[in-house]
Amino acid sequence: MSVSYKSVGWNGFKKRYDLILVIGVVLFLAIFMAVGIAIYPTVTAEILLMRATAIAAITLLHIILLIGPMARLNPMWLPLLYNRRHLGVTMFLTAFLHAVLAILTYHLGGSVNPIVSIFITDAGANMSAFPFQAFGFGALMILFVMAATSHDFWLVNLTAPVWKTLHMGVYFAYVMLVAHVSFGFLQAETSPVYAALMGLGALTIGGLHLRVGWGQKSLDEELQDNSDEFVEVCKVSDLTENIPLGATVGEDRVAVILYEGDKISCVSGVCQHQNGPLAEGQFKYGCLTCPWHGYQYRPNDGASPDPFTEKIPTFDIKIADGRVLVKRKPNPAGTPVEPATCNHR
Amino acid sequence: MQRYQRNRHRLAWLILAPVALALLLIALLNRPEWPVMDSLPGQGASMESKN
Repeated sequence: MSVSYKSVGWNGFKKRYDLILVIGVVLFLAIFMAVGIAIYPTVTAEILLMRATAIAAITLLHIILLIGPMARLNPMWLPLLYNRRHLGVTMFLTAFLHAVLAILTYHLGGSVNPIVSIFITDAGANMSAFPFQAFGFGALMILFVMAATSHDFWLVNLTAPVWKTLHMGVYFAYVMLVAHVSFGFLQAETSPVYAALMGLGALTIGGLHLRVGWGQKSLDEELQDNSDEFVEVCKVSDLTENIPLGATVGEDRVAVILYEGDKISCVSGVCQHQNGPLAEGQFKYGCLTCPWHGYQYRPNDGASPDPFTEKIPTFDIKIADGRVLVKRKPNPAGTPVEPATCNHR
Repeated sequence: MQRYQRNRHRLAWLILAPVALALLLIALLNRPEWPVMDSLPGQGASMESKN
């Protein structure tokens, strides 16, 4: 939570992440070009770079789409999730370079406007005339909107629900790019290796998202059936004053906090800003503080202190036999809940 | 909110994953034959022409 905007809130982790990312992309392009020139000396540098940027961009997109479900299945992937937006912007820039090279190579110099040319050159009745370039252009436009609105400024001004909905556009962009690659590059490619890789990629992405989604569905249904039930999240003795404890209730991440000597509250463990892990943050000035960007929430009602307006769901809580019990069904964001008290710690 | 987002993601992938795979399959089934198969030694027209 901040009253001013910074272009990027740099820290050591982000700098290392971005350095590895940029070196990785540049190295891939360089190696691809060098090997390409050695094997196919007649192919122009523009064509090789166009192909290199295309493969780099689609590979990055696969990595981006894999991070979410992989982090759900195993927390070891969470560090990749923390800075995923930089990965997305890098992917867009690589795809943009590919598009510029394609337009310069195939669409510039004619009597038709190069952008219009993208939409009319594939017109025809057979399969090879499928408008694959139009699909690539459409995907690039979605990725542009996402990259342009990736900054916190837009997240705050569009509000988190609108921003998250907008950024679900990457799923549609992915399907459009599958069409772009399948009806374009794969139609003329003589080696089946790329087709096999594309198939493996689409199967992995779709399969992993559905696998994780279905795992959560059964938990959600169980939660629906037992929504009034209280479940144990920890023991009172597990809690240390002013240090949040992370737990899961059903499939919801929560943060439990002991404060002011004997009060215990439970709120959603997911920051409203960017789904940051509130239970991994500090308890400062009477508020849970997100470790990612410093957004703060009061433990008793899940609301940010004035003048901020962010709110997260709260959970009814009680103590029984030294155990901290939390109601499975969360309260609407910002609902005040009487803290449990633990006189007999 | 977390549950609403999960439902939305689930629905999106339930529709989009089969669409992506179907597009890939249609494209591959309708593409020109793989030329590499014709040029394998002992197969196709290239060997016949040599003989």
